[in-house]
Amino acid sequence: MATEPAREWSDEQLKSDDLPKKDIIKFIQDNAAHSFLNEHKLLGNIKNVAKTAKKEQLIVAYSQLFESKRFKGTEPVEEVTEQVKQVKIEDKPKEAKTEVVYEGPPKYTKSVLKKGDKTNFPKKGETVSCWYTGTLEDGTVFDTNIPAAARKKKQTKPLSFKIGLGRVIRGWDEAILTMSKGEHARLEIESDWAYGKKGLPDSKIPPNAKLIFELELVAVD
Amino acid sequence: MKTETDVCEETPTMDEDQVNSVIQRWRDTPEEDLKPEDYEQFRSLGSACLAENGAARILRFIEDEKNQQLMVSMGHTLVAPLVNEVVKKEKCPHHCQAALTHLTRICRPDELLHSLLQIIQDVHPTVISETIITVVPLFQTVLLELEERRAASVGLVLSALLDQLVRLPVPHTEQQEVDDEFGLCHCCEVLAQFVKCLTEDVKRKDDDDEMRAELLQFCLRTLRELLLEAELKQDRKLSPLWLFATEIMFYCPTLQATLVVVKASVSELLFYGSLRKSQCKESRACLAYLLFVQLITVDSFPAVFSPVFVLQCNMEYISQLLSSKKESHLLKGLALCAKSLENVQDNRLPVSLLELPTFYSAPQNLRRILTDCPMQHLRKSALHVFQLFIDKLDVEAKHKFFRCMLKTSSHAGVEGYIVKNIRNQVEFSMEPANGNKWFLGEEFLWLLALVLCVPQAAETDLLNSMDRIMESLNLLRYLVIRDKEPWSKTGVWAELCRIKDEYLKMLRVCIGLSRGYYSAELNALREDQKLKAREARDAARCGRLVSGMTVKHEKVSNMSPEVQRQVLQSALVTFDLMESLIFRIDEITAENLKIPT
Repeated sequence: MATEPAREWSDEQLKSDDLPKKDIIKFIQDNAAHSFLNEHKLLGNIKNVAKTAKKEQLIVAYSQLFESKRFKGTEPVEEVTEQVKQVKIEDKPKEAKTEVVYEGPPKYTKSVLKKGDKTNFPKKGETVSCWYTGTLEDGTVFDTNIPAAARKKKQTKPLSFKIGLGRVIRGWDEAILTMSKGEHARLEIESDWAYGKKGLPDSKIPPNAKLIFELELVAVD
Repeated sequence: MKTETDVCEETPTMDEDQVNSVIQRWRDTPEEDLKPEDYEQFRSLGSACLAENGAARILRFIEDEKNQQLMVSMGHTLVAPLVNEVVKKEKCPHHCQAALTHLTRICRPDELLHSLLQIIQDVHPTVISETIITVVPLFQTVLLELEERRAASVGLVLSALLDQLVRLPVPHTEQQEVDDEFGLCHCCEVLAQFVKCLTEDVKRKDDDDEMRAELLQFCLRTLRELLLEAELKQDRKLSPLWLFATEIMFYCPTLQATLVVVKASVSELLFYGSLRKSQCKESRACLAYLLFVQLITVDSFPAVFSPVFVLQCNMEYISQLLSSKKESHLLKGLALCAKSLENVQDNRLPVSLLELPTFYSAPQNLRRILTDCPMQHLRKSALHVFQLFIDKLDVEAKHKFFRCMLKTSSHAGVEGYIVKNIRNQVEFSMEPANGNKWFLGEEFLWLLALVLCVPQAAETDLLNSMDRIMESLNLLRYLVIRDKEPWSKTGVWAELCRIKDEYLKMLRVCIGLSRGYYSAELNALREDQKLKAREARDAARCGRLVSGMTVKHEKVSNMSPEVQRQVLQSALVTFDLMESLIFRIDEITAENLKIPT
């Protein structure tokens, strides 16, 4: 647990007008146990506490803190509760749980960049269409079907193929089954579920390469 | 039909005035009143003029304001003579070219088209490339002017051009390409430009499906009738044929797009193509070769398909190419097969793939090349690909494939090769991590029974089957050396031994019979030689000619006695070899029995 904080201010200093109330309040809030603060009505916003608390009260509280040694961490249970209350629930996109299909853990990870409609999921054997960009770990783009000029996108079709039949690399076959129409995701596929030991030298994929795809599932049959 | 000579006879030597008056008459006649004889006379006048170095005069005549109306009606008849002049290259072609250019501007496109098509269809074989080079720019101008039925006309033109182009010999070596003796390369350059111009036009107009279809047909025909014959090498990237192939590869996806303005992909053409008609298979096979082996446009090919799927799709094309008897096709088929297999990991292909017709026909075609093809480099290449194919099959698939090959190949060399592979596979399977029932269990017995069979029993020609028998004996020797231990889990050792013993028993019988026969042959040969030697000595003593040779055996051979003797001797050596292997196998078996288990 934390070592006892130092008693910086002497009584004279405390009484002095040079020392503002909020400094004392801050110190006590930083170092006292939750229950102590509660009892001395020192919880909450420093400005508000400064309005309601008198300096004499603060000086007394300060002294009592060092006498009772009811510092932070001396009452573990309530500390944790306090910390939990303080934690905000973040809205970060979590990594989707990937389905474990036969043969051990999945060898890819998926981060959803944009949610799909969550209703139209492709089934094995159906035709899907997607836009994609594939990069190596070092950032080299080895393949994409998204034309460079935006206007050309009207003239180009997304890639269409039947899913779940081993026609594409396994990482795609497995990952796309977990995606819904409209979903835009980032896939990191380990080489075992991509091109493995051989790689695909003609397409600039070296051996044992982990592949990263940004894939947008445009249509499901 | 009046010929030039007829006209000349009618007007033997038309002087300047007569010519001028005829021309004036034509100028004054309305077009609908002009007769076929008039057209013919105009044409022959033009020809005659050109024959007399009158190209400049013709040009002036054509460009003359006064003659414009005449040119519109009759000018197209001059196209053939002018083109012939250009092709001959004897006199200066500039005037003729200029004249032709002018004509293409003022004459009616459909009439010009007809004239040009006639020229190309009647072209003399010796001037094919010169003619093509001359007429293509003219076609280009004319076709772009055509309002109606342009697509159909384009189709006609391209078809006619290609009909002539494929008559030209295709260069094979780099030197031949550089020399371009028959002009094929130059023609390809010119055609590429032409098609590019038409394709650009089509790209601009979204709805011309008919034109797209015609251009696509041309590309496909080029692929199967021209490029399939050519030898394209990556290190000859600047060769006109390579560049031509590249252009065609670029056009195909663009042209395959249909109603919606959408650029189809080569992968769609190859893997999902709606062009499933048989005539297109050769074209698509060529496309697959250019893409996967020569890597033309490979950067725009999606790098997401699984190698097994790519192999599966390509197998159709591989089988197609390997069924041909032409070297250029076989080379391409072998290269495509090797390339497709190399990307697949070893032991990966499942037995279900062997159910596909193409996965049956392609290896059979390979086998046929191995046994029948007269070109050694192709046989060598085919063997390499054959082994590569075997390596990629998984254990169960290998088992099935070996059984299939043993049943269908009827060739001792191929069978021997398969047996060697079986031995390797058994060895592989004996390693602890690789145990499997296909080469270590009951399933293996089926295979072994197929290997260790003597189909014609006692009448087997051992020499003919030598390769197979030696490999089989090698396999048996390997098995007995390893003894029963690897088979203990599957409990098939006893049965294995039974199969082995029956085989060896039969083999011994065959060897005995064969040896007897060949020994008898050898003795007879020796006796015959002794007899002949004695006769020769007698004849030499008496100075008499030996009349005729007594032929003692049924077999009349062209070989000299010495060669015959060597052949018979080597046959006996072979039997000894076989027997010694059998003996060795028996020896090891006996040793194993002695060692307590």
